[in-house]
Amino acid sequence: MGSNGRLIVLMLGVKEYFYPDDFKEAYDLYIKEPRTSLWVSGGVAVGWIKPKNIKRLIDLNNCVGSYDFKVKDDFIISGSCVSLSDFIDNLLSSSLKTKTSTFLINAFKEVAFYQLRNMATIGGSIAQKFGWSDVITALLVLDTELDCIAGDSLFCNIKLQDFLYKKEKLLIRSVKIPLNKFNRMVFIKYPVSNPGIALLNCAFSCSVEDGYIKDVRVVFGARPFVAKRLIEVEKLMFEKKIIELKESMDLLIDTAKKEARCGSTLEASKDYRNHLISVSFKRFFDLLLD
Amino acid sequence: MKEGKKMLVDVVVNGKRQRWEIHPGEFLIDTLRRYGYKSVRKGCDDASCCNCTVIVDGRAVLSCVKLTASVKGKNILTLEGIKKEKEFLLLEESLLKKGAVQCGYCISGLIMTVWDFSHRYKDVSEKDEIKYYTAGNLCRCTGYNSQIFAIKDFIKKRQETEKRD
Repeated sequence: MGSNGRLIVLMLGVKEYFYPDDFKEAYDLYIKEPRTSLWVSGGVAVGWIKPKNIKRLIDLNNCVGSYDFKVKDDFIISGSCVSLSDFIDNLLSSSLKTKTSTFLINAFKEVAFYQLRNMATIGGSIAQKFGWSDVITALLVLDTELDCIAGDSLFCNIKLQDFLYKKEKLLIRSVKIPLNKFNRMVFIKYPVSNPGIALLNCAFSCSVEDGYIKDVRVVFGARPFVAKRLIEVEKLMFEKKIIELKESMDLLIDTAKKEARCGSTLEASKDYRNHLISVSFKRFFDLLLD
Repeated sequence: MKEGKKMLVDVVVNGKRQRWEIHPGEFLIDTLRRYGYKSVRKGCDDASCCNCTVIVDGRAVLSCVKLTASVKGKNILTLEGIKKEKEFLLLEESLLKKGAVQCGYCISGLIMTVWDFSHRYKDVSEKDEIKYYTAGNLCRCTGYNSQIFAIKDFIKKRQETEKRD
C-alpha cells in the first residue's frame, strides 16, 4: 500500500482495466460508459491528474498500428501510441532530413524532460487538449491531420484545428504530418524554468517565395488555454514581403494580442503573456530574415 | 479482455518472471515497493522529481505515474537488477569520487536515468547533453554540478574500458 492518500482514492475508483486488440474495440468499450471511461496510451495524464470519477481504463498499447511510424508520400504518419522520444529517435534515424523533421525534433525536445518524453505519446498529448501542450502547438502550425474513430465507430480524417474545438469524443488512431507544406518554421517556448511548463508557446510556419510570404500559419498556445491559430494575423501576413511586414510589426502584434486573448494564471499574468507575444514576433522575424 | 477488481499481471523484473496481483488503478511504484524493490523511491508522486525512475522495456519512465496494469508482459529494470554489473560499479565509483551523493534519496532515480540514456545514446558525453537527459532528476543537496561531473567521468571511464576490451 502506498504512503499517500491519493493512491487509495484511485484504487477505489478504478474497477476495470481493458486491453483491446484494435482501436474499434477500444472505441466500443468507451462508448458503453463514456463518463467513467478513459483511454490510456502513455498514461502520464492519468497518473498526473488521478481522476476520481474514472472506473474503467482502456489501454491502447495493444491496438494494431498504435506503434507504427512511416514516411509516405510527403507525410509522416505516426501511430497514436508512439512516445515523443521514439518519435524523435525515429526521425533522427530515418534518412529524412527536411526542415519539418528538424522543426519537430527541436520542438519535441523542449517538452518536459527525458523520462516524461519516454512516456508521453503523440496521440495522448493531443487527445487531452491541454492548454500547456507544446505538441499541439507544434503540430497545429504544420496543418496536421488526424485519423480518428468517431460516433458509430466510423473512421474519419479530421484536421487538428477542428479536432481541438470538437465536443464529440474522438479516438485518435494516427497522426499525419505534411512534410513539405512550408519552408520556414519556428517554435518558441517560454517556460518558467527548464524543464517546465510553458507560460506561452508559439509556432510560425510559412512558405517564402521571392521574398513574399505565400502561405502562413501563426499559432499561440499555453495562453493558458489550448493552442489557437491566429487567422486575422495570418491574413495580414499573406502575400506580403517579409521586409514590409517587419516594418509594420506593431500592427501584427496588436492584432495578435487581440486575437490570442491571453489569460492570467499563478505563473504569469495576461499582460506578461501579451508582452511575450510581441517578443515572439520580433524573434520570428529575426529568424526568418536570417 | 476484461479484468476483474483484482487482476494478475505477468512481468519480468530484473530478469525474473513474476506474477503480481494488483488493483487496476495501482501505480508501478507502489507495486514495486510492495514486492520488495525498495530502491524505487517515492518523492513528489506527480511526475516532478524523477526519484521513482525505473526502466520499462529499455526506456526510463516514472513509476509514480505509470499504471502497473500497463506494464503487463514487459521487462522492468530497477537498481536491484544492475547493482552487480561492472558498469554500475564504475558509475558508483564516479559518483562517490566526485561527491555527487549527499543524502542519497535521489540517487537511485538518477542512476536508472543514466543507465538508460548512456546505453541508448552511446555518443552522449558533453556536459550540456548530460544536463539535457538528467534535467528532470531533482536533487536538493548537491547543486547538480558534482552529479554531472560524475556522469561525465563514468561515461569516459566506460568508453576507455570498452576500448580496452
